[in-house]
Amino acid sequence: MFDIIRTAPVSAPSVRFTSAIRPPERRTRSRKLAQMGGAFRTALSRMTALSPVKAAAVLVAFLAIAYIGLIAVVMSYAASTIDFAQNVRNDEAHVSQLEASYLNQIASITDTNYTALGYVKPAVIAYVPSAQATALR
Amino acid sequence: MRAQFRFRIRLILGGIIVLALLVLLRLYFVQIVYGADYSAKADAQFTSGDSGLFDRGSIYFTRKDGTLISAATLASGFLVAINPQTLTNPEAAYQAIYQVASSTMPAHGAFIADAAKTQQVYIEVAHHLSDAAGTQLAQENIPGVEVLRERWRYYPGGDLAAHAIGVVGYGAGNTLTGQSGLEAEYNETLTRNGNNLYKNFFAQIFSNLGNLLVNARSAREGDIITTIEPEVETRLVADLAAANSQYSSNTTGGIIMEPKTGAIIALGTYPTFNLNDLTATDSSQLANPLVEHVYEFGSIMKPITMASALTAGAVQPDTTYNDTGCIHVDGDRICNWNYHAYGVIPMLDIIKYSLNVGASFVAEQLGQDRFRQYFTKIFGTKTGIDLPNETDALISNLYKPQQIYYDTASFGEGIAVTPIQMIRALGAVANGGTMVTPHLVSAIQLDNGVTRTLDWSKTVPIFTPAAARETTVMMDALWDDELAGGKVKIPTMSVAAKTGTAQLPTPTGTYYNNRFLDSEVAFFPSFNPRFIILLYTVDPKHTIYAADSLTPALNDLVHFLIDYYAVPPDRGFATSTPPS
Repeated sequence: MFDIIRTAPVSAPSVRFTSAIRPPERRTRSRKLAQMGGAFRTALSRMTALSPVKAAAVLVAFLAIAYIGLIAVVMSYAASTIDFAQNVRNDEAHVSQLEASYLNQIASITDTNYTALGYVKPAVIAYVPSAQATALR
Repeated sequence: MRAQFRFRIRLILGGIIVLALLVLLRLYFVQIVYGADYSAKADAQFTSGDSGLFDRGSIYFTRKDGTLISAATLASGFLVAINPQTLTNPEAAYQAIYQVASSTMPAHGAFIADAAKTQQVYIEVAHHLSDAAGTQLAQENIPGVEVLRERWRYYPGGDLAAHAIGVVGYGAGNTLTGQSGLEAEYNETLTRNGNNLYKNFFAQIFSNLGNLLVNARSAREGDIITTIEPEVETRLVADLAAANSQYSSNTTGGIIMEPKTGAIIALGTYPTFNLNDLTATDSSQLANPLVEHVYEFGSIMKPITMASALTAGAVQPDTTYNDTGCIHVDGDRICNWNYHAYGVIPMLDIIKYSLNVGASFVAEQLGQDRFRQYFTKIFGTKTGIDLPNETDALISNLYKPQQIYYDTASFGEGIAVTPIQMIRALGAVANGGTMVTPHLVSAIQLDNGVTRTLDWSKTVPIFTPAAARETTVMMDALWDDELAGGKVKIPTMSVAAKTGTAQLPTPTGTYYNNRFLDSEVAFFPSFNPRFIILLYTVDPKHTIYAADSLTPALNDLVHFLIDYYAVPPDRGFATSTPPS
């Protein structure tokens, strides 16, 4: 359907300079850059040379791998969330036991028969002014 | 040759693409269209997975300092199940389970019968084991006995605010949902689906976009925070129980509310029930009488009549009338509670001495149309409280032409209202003439971290502030001078109160002569009230009048609230600054 378009490898542009003017390391780096650019251009040309069928196959393969990877991530996240949620619920259950104890204490105090314990109501109640309310409440 | 090869390659490729499309289509149907069904089938294959654990939001009391105390939460433990197909020694298994779960497991005979059902693979035999008991049993590794994690609804307060909190149950379906009280009213907020986690990321995206983006589950599920103060609630219930027991009443109920906001601090009825153990509770007991039952409250209706007449200008505080003790209206006789004639007296004495003849006079001055207008505005609609099954008041007698119905309604007979309607109406007298919306829940703590405060600011203006104040003056005089012979007067705190004693209606439409409903209301400080309290008791024995049956409880609650909330005194000093 489509022929692979073969292109000639791109050669690095020739650069002429006198060794007396430019140091040797700059000459090496420029050559490397030229080689990398050439390789990139080669890869790009090869990719654009792929048929849509191959491109679709590559895409499907990538999606499949991504899907499996995402599932793995999500499932591990779910498992850790379940574990954390269970721990929270267990802690809440322990707290509820403490709250039940607190409410039972209140009920016990409310139901206390102070007369039976020997307390008596005051004979006289007097009201006196105070500078500020007590902080004991 | 080359073209032939190319054609075959393309043919195979086309076939693979078609196959892939078919697989994708099937994937869509399996994961998204029928995903829930397959998920349910998968869950059904497991005896008890994490996704099957019961989960539900919590309900909180609010202490006066803002601390939240659980009213309804979850408890965690274990359940015990047997597999009759692999259970080798039922007797030994019974003994082992009995040692750790004797209170919840079935009788010996029933257990052995269950063990003999070899066509089943899973039978639950004991529930609500503690962590220690479950771990101990699991370590014994008894063949055929499975110890599985379990969660259940737990109410730390036991019977505290039982009617208001409500219960969960299976109802008509196979999931636990709220059946009464706040559990039912806020069921959608409290319910957890248990599928919050992304078991399939792409399925969540395609099938649950609504839950994710538009109506996110975490934005509507949460915990509810009530206005109920647990220590005040405990005190109220204790006083109700004491009054109910002392006078062997059928039922005794009470509500404590903030008249300015409608926030209910405490409410309860006695007899009550334990939310953690409903085995001895009849389903009829789950109904909340405070919102679902109507009563003829008697003379505590008189402040409503008076405030209505003062607002309409039908009477003034210094208006007088000649109280003859009894009057005849439409062939019926209306008398004061003590049959005494008080002569020419002002309006104040109608409330202070609770005079039926005086209330009838005020109703007649108001006129039938205006009387009906005011009472329909006050009692003609539900309060809107956030509890289910609120009942309408029965005020149809106010649409009849005979004056007797208006006269009797003026002192609370012939019309029946719910306790929550009654306290809301009297709260308008306390609140400068404005009726508020009673409510139990102040906020919802959503799972996404946001706390949503509920708006209960809707009010209904009923009386003028002047009429409310003048009525309050009359009620204040009752507490200081009349109630218990003036012994309950608090020198540093003004309290406005009214008692009511109404004859109970018979099934045939008449009234008992020896059975009564006693009621009493009080709010304090009188002219800037912090709390309003309503108590009632149905059919108390060995007594008639509310002044006897309910005043001790009311007085105790008033003093408790003053001390607990450090309500500052509103009288007793020449200036607001105490002398040094």
